[in-house]
Amino acid sequence: MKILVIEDHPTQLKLAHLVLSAAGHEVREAAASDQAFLAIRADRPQLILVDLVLPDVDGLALIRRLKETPETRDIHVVAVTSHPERYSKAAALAAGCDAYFVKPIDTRQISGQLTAIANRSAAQG
Amino acid sequence: MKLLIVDDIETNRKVLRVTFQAEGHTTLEAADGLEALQILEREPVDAVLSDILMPRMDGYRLCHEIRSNDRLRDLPIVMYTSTYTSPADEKLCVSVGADRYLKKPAPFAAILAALEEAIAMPHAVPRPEAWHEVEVLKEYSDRLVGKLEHRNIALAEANERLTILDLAKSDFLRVISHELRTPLVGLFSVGDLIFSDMPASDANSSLQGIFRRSRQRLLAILDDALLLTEIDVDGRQFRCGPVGLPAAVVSAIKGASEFAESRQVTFAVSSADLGVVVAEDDLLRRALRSLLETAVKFSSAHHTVDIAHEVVADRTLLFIDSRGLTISSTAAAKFFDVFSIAETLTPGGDLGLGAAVAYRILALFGAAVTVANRDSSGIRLTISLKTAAARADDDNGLMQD
Repeated sequence: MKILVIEDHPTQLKLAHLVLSAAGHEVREAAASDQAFLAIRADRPQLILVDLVLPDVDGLALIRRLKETPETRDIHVVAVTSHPERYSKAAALAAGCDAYFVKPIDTRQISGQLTAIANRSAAQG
Repeated sequence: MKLLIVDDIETNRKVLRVTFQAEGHTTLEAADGLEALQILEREPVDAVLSDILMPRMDGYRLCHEIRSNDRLRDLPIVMYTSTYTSPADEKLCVSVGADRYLKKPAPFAAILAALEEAIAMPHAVPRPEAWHEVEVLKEYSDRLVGKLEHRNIALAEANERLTILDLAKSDFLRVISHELRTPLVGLFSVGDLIFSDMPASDANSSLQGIFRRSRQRLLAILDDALLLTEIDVDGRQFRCGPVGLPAAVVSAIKGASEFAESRQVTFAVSSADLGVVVAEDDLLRRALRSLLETAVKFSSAHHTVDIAHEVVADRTLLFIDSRGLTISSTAAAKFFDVFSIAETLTPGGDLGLGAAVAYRILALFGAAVTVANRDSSGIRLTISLKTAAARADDDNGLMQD
């Protein structure tokens, strides 16, 4: 599936890109929210993997915006964070994301986890 | 800043010294008011942080002496006490000219803020009659101290040291759980990227295995520290309900199996129908997993960790038995403490935070865990859980994910 990774840390962006494309996904990248919205308009992804600490906006605010905008509200959103003490699972889910992972991502499992989330949400919706 | 720390208990001074120095401040130390005055005679400082109850000259008197001394009278003073904690005590501190008053133990940030405020503020001139009150109080305190058995004072001081050490531990846990994840995620990402570029070979795959296991151990410590901070420091509340023990045990065994395999240890469940207990599902699994991994650490290779159960009145007892190492009685007493095990108990010296985490999780459900040597060849962890009333309660909405 088409996945947009929103992550400002180059190493982690590269790793997510590598792992997900190796599993057969089509990966697009954005390092900040403005780039993310451009990327979504240019080529709509099925799932967005978003880091909660971004240079130009709070990740939770970005998720709320995605879920409030009619054109993007049906895209699955998965939040990741290195700061579980600052961004709790409950807060992330309340903002509207479909799943929440604490970093580091498990490179062996992340692709399967994302596919399951997309399928589960599709079945429910 | 250059700070004079006045406290008769060496551990208290040490904790403050280490913390202030780590933040780039310079410190001097005195064990009582007289020593403090001697130091102030020869060394200019920016502020004084002083205990009150001390031998020879207490903090009230020290404050009075500083405010009566023409050269020292503007020196910022923060009183820091665990003994004089009533509103009248605090008022007296202000009366004798202290700028700020803090109850022990206070977080470092609060102490620093109080000192900075004291430095910034214009200094109040003590009321002329104040010292009269202090003299009265001094007499009272002399009599009080005289009445106390020496042993009682020692106990009170030991208790104060423990409280301060607990606070230092909490701060340390917070640092581990909040500050280390970001740099570790950076390292792990780089490691994963390097491995993705390496050709497949036995040697590389063995390196990757080492990397993966080390990474899991570090992450387990971070996760444990985060949960301990939530429970111990932040006082987070968790909701409990009926949880099926068989599924929790199976899940815990699955979680602990990779670690057990690395030590060539296996698990066996000898009880059927373990029943339903009062707990929070995810946390119970985590506690059981930690205890299973702890049992593995006390097992010799090629042995089995046995899991059995027994229902006694309204409690469900779960026994986890290992075969291999035993523990000394001094170590047993501290087994579930955080960072307290000075002697190496396990071959890897890696008891970690798992046992402490499990102990605290179980306390949240009104459950408990104890450790004892089973015989001369192994240990038994006994978990006592509240048995849930009936399975029908499964649907009552108490559970959360």
